[in-house]
Amino acid sequence: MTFSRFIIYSLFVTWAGYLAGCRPGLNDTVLIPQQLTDGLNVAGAKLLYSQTRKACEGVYSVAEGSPIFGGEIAAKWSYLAKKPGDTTYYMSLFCEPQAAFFVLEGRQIGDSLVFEGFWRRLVNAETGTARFVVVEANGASALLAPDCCTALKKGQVIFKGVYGDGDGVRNQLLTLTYDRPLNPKDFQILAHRGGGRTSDLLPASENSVEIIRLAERLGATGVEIDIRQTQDGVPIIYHDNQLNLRLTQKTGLIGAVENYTFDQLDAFVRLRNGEKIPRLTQVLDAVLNETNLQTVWLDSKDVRDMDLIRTIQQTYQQRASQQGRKLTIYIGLPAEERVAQFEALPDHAQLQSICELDTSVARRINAKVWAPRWTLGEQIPSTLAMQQQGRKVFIWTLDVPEFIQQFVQNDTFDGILSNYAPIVAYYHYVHQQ
Amino acid sequence: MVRIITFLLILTGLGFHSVYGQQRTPRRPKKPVNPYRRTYQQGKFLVPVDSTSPQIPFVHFPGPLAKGTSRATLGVTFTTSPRDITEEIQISIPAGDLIVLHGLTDKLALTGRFTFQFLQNNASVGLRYSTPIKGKFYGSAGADVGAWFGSLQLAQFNNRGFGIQSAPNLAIGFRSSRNLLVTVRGEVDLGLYYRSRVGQTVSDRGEILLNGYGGTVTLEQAFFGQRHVALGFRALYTNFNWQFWSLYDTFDRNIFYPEAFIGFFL
Repeated sequence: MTFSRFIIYSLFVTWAGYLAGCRPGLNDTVLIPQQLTDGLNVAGAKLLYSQTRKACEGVYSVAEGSPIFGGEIAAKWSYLAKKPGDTTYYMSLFCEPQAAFFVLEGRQIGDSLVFEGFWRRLVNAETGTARFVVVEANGASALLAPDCCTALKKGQVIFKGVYGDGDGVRNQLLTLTYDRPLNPKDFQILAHRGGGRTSDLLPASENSVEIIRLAERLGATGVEIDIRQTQDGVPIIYHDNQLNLRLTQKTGLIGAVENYTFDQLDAFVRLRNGEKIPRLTQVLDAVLNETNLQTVWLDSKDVRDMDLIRTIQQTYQQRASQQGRKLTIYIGLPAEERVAQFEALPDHAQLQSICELDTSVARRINAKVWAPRWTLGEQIPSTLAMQQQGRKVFIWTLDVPEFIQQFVQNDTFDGILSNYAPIVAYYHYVHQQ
Repeated sequence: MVRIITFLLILTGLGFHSVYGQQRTPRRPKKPVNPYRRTYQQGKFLVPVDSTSPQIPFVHFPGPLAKGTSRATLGVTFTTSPRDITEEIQISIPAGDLIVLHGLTDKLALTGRFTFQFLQNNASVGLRYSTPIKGKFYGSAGADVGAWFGSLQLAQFNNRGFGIQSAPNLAIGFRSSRNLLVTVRGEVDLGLYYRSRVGQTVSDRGEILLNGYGGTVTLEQAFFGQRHVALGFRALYTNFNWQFWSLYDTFDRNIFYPEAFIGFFL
């Protein structure tokens, strides 16, 4: 056989493989169904009081309906303050199977409570709409009454619900019965890349201001974001080394983000869902002013000016204190080089930092958090030693539900960083100590 | 003292013996020449089942293999890591690949495959029933059952993984000439068991899962004189690929794994 024939046959095989490999459409963002709150915007509908929202929180048993959302569901409220005086409250329901969650808005209509919104499975593209009603006979009065903040009894409140697939008719039943309060343990559910990965087909791109706004609805109590600096030194939020089609829309720009000024990136680059690459300060503004997030993990991917990052961290930490916000902003140190930059800061031992290296480094720089990789296992002796020294221990980046369940149940860590905040939220909130 | 010196001299002498080869180890007897290899070297590559049988060796082509005949290829596969999982890093991961085919009857053959990367390996066995369809077309149906094992005990990893998989398959072969065999094979990728250990924490599941499916196009051909190769491309759409077990992909969707392979007939 001649070499040219060999090449021709090889090209044929490659071409056949390429054809077989085409799979258009599977990387599209999963759109949230549109018919979300039509049933809430009716005459006489009232927003829910904070004590009513608080009373709704808890673990519910699935009393009726298919088991595709599991046997138990955890309900938790969050909010998004779009601007002063314009705050929207969302009730998220976290389920066990396939990172399923619901995001609902609620109203009081007459003597009933009505909730509408959407559901989604984060591990795939399944989504749809849902509507729940709590009528007076099913405990609405216990939620609406001014003294409702006394603990609910098991079975006292029943959410009668229907859901459907996509924008289709909601014709499948789902009834939830109140079982117990949420697990009260102080535990950080840290959402990776600001809330979730672009590859999970979320409606907002990873490391964008928009995903920060979504993070609490996904169950997060904190977020991890990736910091780089542009050519002109502006700290921005972006994960990869390069501008690429995984994270950005097609543009004429190629190469490392560090090769471009912020103005160039701002003018020409759009993330996968159309957002701009944000400055670090834009993201922290959103965290501080629009959400109730408690933790920000600044993962210093490529930082040249650690002093600038420290200044920004301190500025926003002070603003949070002035606003009475429970917010801790940590400088994340993933590598020796970053640790060296951090140690060069004269006051580094007093700063809030997360050390991903071994425990001796965490002690040396007085990191407030030690963050081992989850693939090392629970490392109970090291974890306990760190906690006895007053440090917290977060693990990263754990997405496997079976391991999340076991790590939460073993009560070892103070927080879990995950791409699947709804799964961590579910296992944390339903866990009974 | 004299005794000790004498003893040391004897030991030294023994050492010199072996160094200078004065005491030769007997030569190993020559192995009998494999009859298949002899015919192969003569340019006759197969015991023909009928007058239209291919004249080159094959392990992928669904042609009947005479009872007792064995074929094997040793080669390498390259699987490209999907960006869904490895994100900005996209590399072709090589693995050694040994494929064995042994005729049990004229139409039924035992198949075996060992894919190895040392830190993670996969061995499978199966049965394949092959038959001529019409003219130059042949077909086969078969099923493999295999187990993979991986151990990652370095840097920031303390993981082990183990799984059992099965791949029922159908293949159609076209003998374009007596020296070129084209095979198109479809397979279903079933997961039978999965177990992973991270530190002391273990996760396992035993239900049968439809992981995905795959298609393979293979050319088996003469290549540079008497050397023969199997050259192919496999497109695997699956929810789980054992070569990437340590990345713990959690997407509930099939991901495309392109795999190119080349095998040299032994």
